[in-house]
This record gives sequence, C-alpha cells and structure tokens, in this order.
Amino acid sequence: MASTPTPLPRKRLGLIVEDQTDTRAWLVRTLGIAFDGIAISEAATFQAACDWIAAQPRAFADPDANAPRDIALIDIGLPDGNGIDLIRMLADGHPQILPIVTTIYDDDAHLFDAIAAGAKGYLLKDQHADTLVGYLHRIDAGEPPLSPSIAQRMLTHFAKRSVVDANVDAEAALTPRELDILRLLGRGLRVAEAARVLGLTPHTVAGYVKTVYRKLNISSRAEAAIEAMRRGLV
Amino acid sequence: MSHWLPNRIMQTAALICVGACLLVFWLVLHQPWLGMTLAPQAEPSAVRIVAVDPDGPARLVPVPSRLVAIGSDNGSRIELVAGDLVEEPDTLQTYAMAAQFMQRQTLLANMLRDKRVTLHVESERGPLEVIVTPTRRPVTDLPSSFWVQFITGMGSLLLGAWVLALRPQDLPTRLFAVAGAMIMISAYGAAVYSSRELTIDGGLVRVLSALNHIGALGFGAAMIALFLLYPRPLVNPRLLLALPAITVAWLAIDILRLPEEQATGAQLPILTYMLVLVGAIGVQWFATRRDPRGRAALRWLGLSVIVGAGAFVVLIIAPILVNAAPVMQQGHAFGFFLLIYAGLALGVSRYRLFDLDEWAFRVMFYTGGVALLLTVDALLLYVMHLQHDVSFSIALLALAFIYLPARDSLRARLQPRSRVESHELFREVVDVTFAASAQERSGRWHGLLRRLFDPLVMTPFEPAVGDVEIGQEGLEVRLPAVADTPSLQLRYPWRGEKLFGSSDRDLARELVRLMRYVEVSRDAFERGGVEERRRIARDLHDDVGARLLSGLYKTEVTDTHRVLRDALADIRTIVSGLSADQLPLGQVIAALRHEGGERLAAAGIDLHWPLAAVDDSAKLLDYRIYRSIASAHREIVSNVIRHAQAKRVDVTVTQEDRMLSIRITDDGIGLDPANANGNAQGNGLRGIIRRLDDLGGSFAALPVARGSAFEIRIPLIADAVATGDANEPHIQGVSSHPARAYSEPADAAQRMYDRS
Repeated sequence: MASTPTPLPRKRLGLIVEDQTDTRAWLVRTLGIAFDGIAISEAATFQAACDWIAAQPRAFADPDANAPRDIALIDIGLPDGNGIDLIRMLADGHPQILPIVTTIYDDDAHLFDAIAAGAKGYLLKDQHADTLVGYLHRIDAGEPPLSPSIAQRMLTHFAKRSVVDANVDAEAALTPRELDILRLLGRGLRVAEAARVLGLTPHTVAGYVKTVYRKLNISSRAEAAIEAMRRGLV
Repeated sequence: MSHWLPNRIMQTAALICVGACLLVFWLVLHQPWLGMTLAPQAEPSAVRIVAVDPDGPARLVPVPSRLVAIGSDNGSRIELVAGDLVEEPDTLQTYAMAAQFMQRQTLLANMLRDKRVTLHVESERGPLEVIVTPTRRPVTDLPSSFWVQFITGMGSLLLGAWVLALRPQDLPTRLFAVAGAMIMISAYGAAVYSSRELTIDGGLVRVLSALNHIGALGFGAAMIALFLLYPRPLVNPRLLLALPAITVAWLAIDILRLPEEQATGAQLPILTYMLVLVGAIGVQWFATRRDPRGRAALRWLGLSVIVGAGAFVVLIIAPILVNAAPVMQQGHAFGFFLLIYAGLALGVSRYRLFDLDEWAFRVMFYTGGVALLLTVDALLLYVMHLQHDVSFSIALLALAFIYLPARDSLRARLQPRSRVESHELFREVVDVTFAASAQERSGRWHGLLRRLFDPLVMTPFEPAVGDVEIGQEGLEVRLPAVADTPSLQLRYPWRGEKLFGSSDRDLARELVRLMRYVEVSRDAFERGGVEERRRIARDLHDDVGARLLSGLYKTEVTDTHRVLRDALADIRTIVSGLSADQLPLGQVIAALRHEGGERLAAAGIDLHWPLAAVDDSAKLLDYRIYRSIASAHREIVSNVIRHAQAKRVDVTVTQEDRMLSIRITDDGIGLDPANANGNAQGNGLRGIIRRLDDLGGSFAALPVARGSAFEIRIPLIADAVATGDANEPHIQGVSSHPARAYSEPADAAQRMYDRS
C-alpha cells in the first residue's frame, strides 16, 4: 500500500459521512489503508458532519500546495440532510479539506451537482478496496476521476453557458484542449487512453480534468449568483 | 312565411302598430273639445262639471256646477243626462238602449261641430250661459284609461309578433300572435269612445264597439285554440276551424242586435269562451302530467292567461251579466291583458316557452329600440310641438343615452356569465384530474361545479347520461360521469335564482370534454408508469434476484463479492432506464467502454477499443435494446477476466444498416472447458442469449486461432412482431416473440459454457 513519504507537521484528518454502519466501517478501513496515520472521524448524520466541520478552523487562503490535505468522504443521501450542502460548506470555508463524494452510481444526477458544488472527486462504493485506495491516491494527487456520463453533462453545461454569457467570466470557460479531453472521456476513454489519443502524459490529462472540476465549480457559483440576482435575492 | 326573417316580421308588426296608433290618435284628437272634466250623477240624473281646463274653451265655466244642456246658435237645445257619459255602451242593458245612446251621441256631436255652442250651466250662484267655441283636443288631456288601453294594445301586438317572429312555422305561436292583435283591436276600439270628453259620433261608436267585440271574442277564440294545441295537442287542428265559425256567428248576432239583451250578444259569449279556456287549460294540466317541460310552460302561460283574462271577465263582464255595475273602469281593466304578455316574456326567459331561447331577447331589444325611437319622436312631435328634425334628433339621443345602456344591463342580467373565465377552465380541469386520489378528484369536481353553477342540489343521477342534458325547462342539468364521480344532477343553479340556459349547457359540455381529454391523457401516462414498474419488477427479479441468489450459495467470499458487484451493475443499468426510456447509442457505447476499461484494468488486462464513427451516434435505443447490449458485453468481459488469462482485449463496434455488431476478442487461453466453472455463468449467458434472440439479435462464438472471439449482433430497431404474451408489456414499440431455438453459433457457445 502507498503511504505518505515525509513526516507530517500535523496529522492528516479524515471524515467519513455515511449512514450505513457497515459501509462506514469499510470506508474507515479503506481510508486508513490509503493514508497512514490519518485520524478518522465518523459521522452517521448530516448534523454530526456539520458539527465536525464547524469544529475545524476556517481557512480563507489557498492551502499550501505541498501540505497534505484532509479528506472528507461524503455520502449524498443522508437521512437528515443533503451531502451536497456539506460539500458546499467545505468548499466555501475549508479549502484544506478535500470533499470527495461516495456513491454507488457514477451517473447519478446528484453526482454532477456535487462536483458543481465543489467536490474534488468521487468514489464508487461497490469497488474493490484496492481499487478504491488507488482512486483515493489519485484524487489526493490531483487526478480526479470522470465518468463518461459526467463528462457529457459537463460538455452540455459549458456549451449552454458559452451561449448564455460567454464573456461574463472567461475564468470559467473551457479551453479547446479541455473540451477535447472532455469529449474523449465522454466517449468512455479513461485518462490514460485519452492521453494516448492526444499525445499527452496521463498526468497532464489528469491536471486538465482537475481544472475542469474547478471551472465547473466556479461557473456554477456564478450561475447561482446570476440566478439570485435575477430573482432579486441579492 | 318560411322566408320571413324574425326582424322582418317584427318590422311589419311595428309598422302595423304605428299605423294603428296614428289612426287612434287622429280619431281621439279630432273630436270637438270643450276642456271640461265631467262626471255622471245618478239621482237626480245629471252631468256634473268636476273641473275645467284653465286654457280650454270652457275656462270661464265655474266649478263645481252642473251641465244642464247644450244649445246651438240656431236655438236648438239638448238636455244632458247621466247616461250620456256611459263609458262602454255595451254595459247598457238592452240593444235598444244602446241604439238610443248612440243616437244622442250623434246629435250632440253634430251640435258641437258648429263654430259656437252655448253651455247651460247651473252653479251655486244660479243658472248661467256660457258661449264657447270647441277646439281640437290636446294630447295631454287624454285620460289615464286611454293610455292603459293604448299601451296594452301596442304591447300585446308587439309581444305576440315577437313570439311569431321567432317561430313563424308553429301554429301555437301564430295563434298567440293573432290573440295579441285581437287585444289591440279590442283595446283600440274601446280606447277611442271610452275616452271621449262628452260626445263622439254615434255611427263611429257603433263601428268601434263592434271592433271591441270582435277583438274580445277573437282573443278568446285564439286562446282556446292555442290551449287545445299547446303544450300538448289535444285535438286535430282541423277541428279548430269550428272556433272561427262559432265566433263569427255569435258576433253577427251581436252586431246585428238580434237578441234583446246586450248581455246575450256581448257578455255571454265572452264569459263562455273564458270558461272554455279555463277548461282547456285544465285538460292541458292533466295531459302534461308526465311532461314536466310542458307542465312548466303551461304553468306560466296558463296562469297568466287565467289571471289576465279572468280578472277582466270577473271585474267587467260578469257584473254586467248580473245587472251590476262593473267593479272598475273598463279602460283600466284592459291593463290585465298586458299581464298575459308580461307573463309570456317571463316565461320565455325562465322556462323557454315555445322553445324560445335567450337569443329571443336580442330580437326584442332590437325592435324595442326602433319602437322607442318612433314613440319618442311621435311624442315630441305631438306633445311638445317640435319641428320634425329636432324631435327626431332628440329621439335618437334618447335612444343612445338611455335605451342602449339600459338594454345592455338588462341583457347582462338575462344572460348570466359563467363565474370562471374560459382560459382558467383548462387549469381547473387539470387540477381536478391530477388530484391524488379518486376521492379528492371527486371532491374537486364537485367544487368546480359549485363554483361554476352554484346549484342548490347536487346529487348522483341514475341512469347515467352520456352527454350534458338540460331538464325540467332549465331547472336542472345532468352531467355524465367524469372525475371518478358518477353521473350528476345539478338543480336550481345560482341558488335558484336562474335556470340553466344554452350557454350553460355549452360550458358544461366543454368542461366534460376537457375532463375526458385530460383523463385519457392521464390514464395513458399512468399506464406508462405501470408498465415501467412492471419492467423494473421483472428486471429486478430476473437479473438482480437471480444473481443475489447465486451469491447466496457461493462459499468463497471473493465470489460473493463478485456476484454482488454484478448485481449492482445490473441495478445501475435498470436505474439508468428509469431516468430515460431511451439512450443515445453513443452514450451506451461510452458507458460500456468506460466500465469495461476499468474492470479489465483492475484485472491487469489492456483494453483496446478504438474510437469509431458509431461512438457519436445519437440514435436512440430503447431500454430493452441497450440493456441487452450492456448485459451481454458485461457478461463476456466477466468471463474473459475470470477464465481467459488474457493480457489484452480488443473491442470493435460497427453498425451496418440497422444491425449493431460488437466483436470482443482476447489473447487468452481460449475457452478451455476446464475454466468454465459451474452454472452461474451458464445461467447468465443463457439469459443474455435468450434476450438477444427475443430482440432479433444473436450471440456467436467466432473461430479464432488464439484466444477467443465473440460477437453480439442486435438490430437497433426491434422487429415489431406482435405476440400474445400478455406478461410482456410493450415498451416503446418493442415487442417480443416466443423464444426460438438458439441459432447455431450461440448454441455452440452455450454448450461451451454449460460444461462443468
């Protein structure tokens, strides 16, 4: 198993938000295997997760790129709330924590919303523990996964935006290269295959995917702001 | 008369009316006038002067006083008696007395036609002679009894013509119109002589009196005929010809003064006719006992006729027959006839007498405008002595500023508006139809009907009706069964203030039509939902259930995990079918490539699946087709991972015409029978083969030198082969047919996997 190479200035924190006891235990084990010495907290409810997040120091600046990030695995469907709200909370006030969605289906409609809310990756809960650990490392390294259906929805999302307000925020618009990558992933190619087709390294392609995640988050925030303005909320 | 339009008939009636009015006015205004109000005094018989017109010829005559006699310049003198003031000569006992009365009237009239007459008056201060010059009578001097008769005659004629105009073909409406004309003849005849000041030419009185009798008896005859035919025909219409024959005979007896007593010639026939009329109405009442519609019409018309004509007979005619004085002035009593026609108008509006509908009022309003214009014009000409062009302008203004607004508000009252705007109707209907439960739907339907019609009574109705029906002359409406509610009967709309009219029926029809339309759409939608649920149930049972069951018997935990993952993958496909019944082919291929790639990579196997034109296909695949493709592909990949010991898998997808072909080859050890373990895969593959076969596709193991190769072929548009399999819901035009024998290559593959 992979382990973090250098001694940590502080312990990496982990949060598992999952209402199913067995699944939660399994996720705790898997996360412990993936990151040595991680201090894992468990939350079975939305409220418990809120409390944990509230106890964390808020950080406003971008975290040190080299410092190990804390990890929150969040199930969307909680008995007393929506995991997407937790993701938004983390994305807004706790950039040092990586919110990762755990789900059963990679074409879940909520998955796209979770990514738009600021999730940095997703995990399919029915995978092998080994596979899951691999994914966790990749997400931690800035290589988030992207299923074809999510890629297609992103394409649709950005195509619609470019028509609506192309010049509102160029920051959130996709570059042609990013579009190319989304199209290939949308056809079911994995990052390595897309890299092969485009003549890039898989690492570069994974970096693009990470950028697309970020831009989706920015653009959905802008969209929410525009929507709020339109409704006279702001 | 069939080519006569309603307005043409009304215009003709209006012309006749104007002609009759002008004639009457000419007659009453061209009598010599003294300007005195006279009253009879019984004992001793004398003529009292009650008042004099301050501007009239006799303005110098003192009041109160008695008018003893009238003398002429040539010395002749006629002593006056109370009998000279008799309002109606037929109230005199014998024809001889009537003849004598008329004779005296002629003498007096001739005298007054001279330039100057001497009035011999006796007042408190003694006898007095006043010499006066009679002039023409001003309109303003006409007594109220004249106006009552004038308006009654006009109203009866026009209202009768109105009914005729709307149903010119019907005998009852013709009779009703004739009766109206008869009232006019009778009233106008009496109006001239009964409103005289003192005298009118006796010959004219005789003619007018005859007209009065003709009108009265003619009215009675027409009404009897009417009630022998309406609401239910009681006799053969040809038999009705007897009525005019009898009437003419009796009139001849009267006019020729054959009997001695006037009562025999004049009052007796009227009373007889009245009794016959009441009898006919009574028979009608019996005849309509099972015809509520006819009964309702009879109730109104019969009642108004009995009350109107009956009051006249009881108050005027009957007393004479028993040698008593009439209870009231005959001129005023004529007003009762107007009751009949007012009752008619009410009956039309409430009970659609003669089957006339609300639109009948439009004709009346139109004609009313013309009549008002002419009346105002005539009044201004005669009473105000205005120039013709001025009077006409004022009449037009009156029409514009008074009549038209009044007409509009009246029409608005007579034609109630629905309380729900029509554009809201659809929303209301949708709200009713999509209510959650049948009970709630029924409740909302009741609520909507209550808002629309506000009936006092709303009850289920048996037997159910197929269309909206109005019953009881508009008292109730019956609605067909909709919105999970049985056929309904609504009674007494608008809290009993109004009746259901044709506009309400149209509204209700529209409502029911909309309800049915939306219900059909909703049912189709719900059927789709039921089919969807059945599909999910079947897939869960066949695929997920079978897999989980096999997982139950696995001894190895890793095997159980694999089975569970496969079951989850199945659920994934089933769920994706929930969000979209159809998926684009490109999306299906992308999902397979991604899933296969991930799984093979986890097993250390390279997947080579080159991009192809078909990747971009937007062709929509039905759930059953993409589900079959996904299961087949998934099963093959599973088998390769487990048994083939391959390093590399190649997948190519091609489409030729409508046939999609997926070829999967591996570089493994081939399908060694030793590696095909047990029935689980066999079962899975068998189901896949059957499913492909059902859709007209095939599964084949291809001969290759090394490793193994499989081909899935499936038509993208399933053959629409109808089957009798009732358990197989039809989805999006996909149908199944009974499983055929496996095709040869598929059979071979089957055997390979089945070996244990």
